[in-house]
Amino acid sequence: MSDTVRHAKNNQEQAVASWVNYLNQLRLDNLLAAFARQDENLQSALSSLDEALREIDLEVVTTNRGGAKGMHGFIAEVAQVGVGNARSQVLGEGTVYEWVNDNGPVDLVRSGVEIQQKFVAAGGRFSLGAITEHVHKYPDFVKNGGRYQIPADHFEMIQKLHTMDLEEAGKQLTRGMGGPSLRDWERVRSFLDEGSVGLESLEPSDLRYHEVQRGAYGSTLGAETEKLRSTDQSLRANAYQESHPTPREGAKATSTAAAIEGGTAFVLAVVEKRCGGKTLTKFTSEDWADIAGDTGFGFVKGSVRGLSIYSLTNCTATPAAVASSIVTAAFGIAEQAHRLRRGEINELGFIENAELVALEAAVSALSSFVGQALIPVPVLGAVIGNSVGIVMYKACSSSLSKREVALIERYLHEHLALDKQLAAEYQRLIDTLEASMTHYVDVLQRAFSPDIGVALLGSVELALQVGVASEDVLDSEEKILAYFLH
Amino acid sequence: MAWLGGGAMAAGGGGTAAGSALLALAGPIGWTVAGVTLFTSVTLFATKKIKTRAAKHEELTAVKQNIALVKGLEAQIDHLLWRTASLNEHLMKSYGGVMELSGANFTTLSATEQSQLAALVNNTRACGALLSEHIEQPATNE
Repeated sequence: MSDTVRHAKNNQEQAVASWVNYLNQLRLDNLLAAFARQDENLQSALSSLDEALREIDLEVVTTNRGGAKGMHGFIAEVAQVGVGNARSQVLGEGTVYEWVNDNGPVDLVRSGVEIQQKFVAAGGRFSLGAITEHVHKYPDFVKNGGRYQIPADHFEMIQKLHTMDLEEAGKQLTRGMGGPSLRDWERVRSFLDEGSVGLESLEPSDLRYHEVQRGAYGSTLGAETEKLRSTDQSLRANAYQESHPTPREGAKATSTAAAIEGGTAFVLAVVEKRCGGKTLTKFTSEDWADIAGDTGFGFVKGSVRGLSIYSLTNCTATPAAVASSIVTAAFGIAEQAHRLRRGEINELGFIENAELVALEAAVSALSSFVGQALIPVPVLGAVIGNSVGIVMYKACSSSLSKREVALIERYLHEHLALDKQLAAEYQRLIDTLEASMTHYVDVLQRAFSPDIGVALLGSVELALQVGVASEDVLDSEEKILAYFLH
Repeated sequence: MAWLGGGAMAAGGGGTAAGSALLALAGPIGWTVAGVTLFTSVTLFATKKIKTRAAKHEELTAVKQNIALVKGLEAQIDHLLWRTASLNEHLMKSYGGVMELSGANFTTLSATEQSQLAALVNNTRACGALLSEHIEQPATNE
């Protein structure tokens, strides 16, 4: 594989990693934006409650508005505006209530709907008596879309009594035993049957009757503050839950990474064949089989890469560039292990190549990571960083290679010189042996000459030459006689 | 990593400061640490590779010297074997030639026959000397 092709693959791998990182970043940005919005929502909701409390203090209680019997009605109006708005604001939906405050037929306006609020317990008619008076005074109020708002506990009671028939009411409601009486049921029935105000024109307040009394509104609004904080927390928790990595997004990352890596492998395989001098029309079925093999392998690698990066970045504290490099290194080392098994490389070669694969992956990871941080454009930053890192690494490794080549050349020269020296020494030895052989053959021939006189002299010469001690050599008549006769 | 920190933020923001410190570490300091580590790895890798080549070179030199030594010894052994075998061959023939003199009185033998026996003794001793000859291993640097 040429350097250009490898570089292109490397860039594509880091681009995929950067894209998965971008997906994660989008989710994270949404989460942080949701938190920021929620900060504002909570703040404005709490402000609404504070404002309501201040208004009640200054405009109602201090001025003794409504007197002892009517003050709670004004407290209820202001508290309803504060609580209603705060509950809407904490959800990010803005203010909905407006306090009219003009002693006219309308107390509150909610999103354009006119509301008359009645918080009356006197007469035991669940505020319905006060509504009847208002209806007589302003008969067109309901017809014009107006609504009556009563304490939440009054509304619940009216609803409950309304659903009972006479028989049921007769059985369940008793006179003077606490709780609603049959008389209450009759009053509610007669109010609703009278027809000028139906149940649909009634609505519950966010507050109960006792909560808006002069001595209670402070704790009511205090409790509401806690409720708002609790709602805020659950909204934040929901936002965090929604920002979880999902199998669907993981599948998207996996399939896109597979398609990109498979596509890149296809293009690079075709380009490599074309660079080998073949035009597309001259591709044989074998060439296409090679290309299909490369593409398929690229597809599988891409799937593994996409899934691994998505899992590693979301379930562990691993940056995307590093996750991609882990996948690249894993595939690279697996390939080297395959070559080792097939005997193409030895164990030392395997270790060296595996180290090289891991180093290149680490360089790629670091440079992409730095590139992405310095150039905060998704994908582009990682690709530029990766290119710069790899080019620097190649420059460094090519300088090291040159040094290594020089070293190998020196070793080669030394070996050639050694071979020459050893060959020369061997030749000298052979020459010496051959010379000694020639001499030996001469002496041997003389020692076994058919001429006995020559043979005797030759045998003496031979014995002395091969190292027999001169006193043991029979080289005189005396020695011969002494040897044979004694 | 930042998403994991989001959990702490959702739970009330207690982990935000710690998360920010961690993220700051992953910035320039982290890059520097990673860069230095990587540079050291590259250097160690290159050094190790060069050392491996040097070790290989030394081993190859030693193996070549040993091969040359063994080849020299082989040539010397061949030479000694040939000398011994040829002498032995001649001796056997010579011995066969004097078998008829076995048991004779030396003094009654002719001068030629006496010389023939004396030459046989000398040649036999020469053969004995060859049999006890050693091939000396030359001194090496190993």
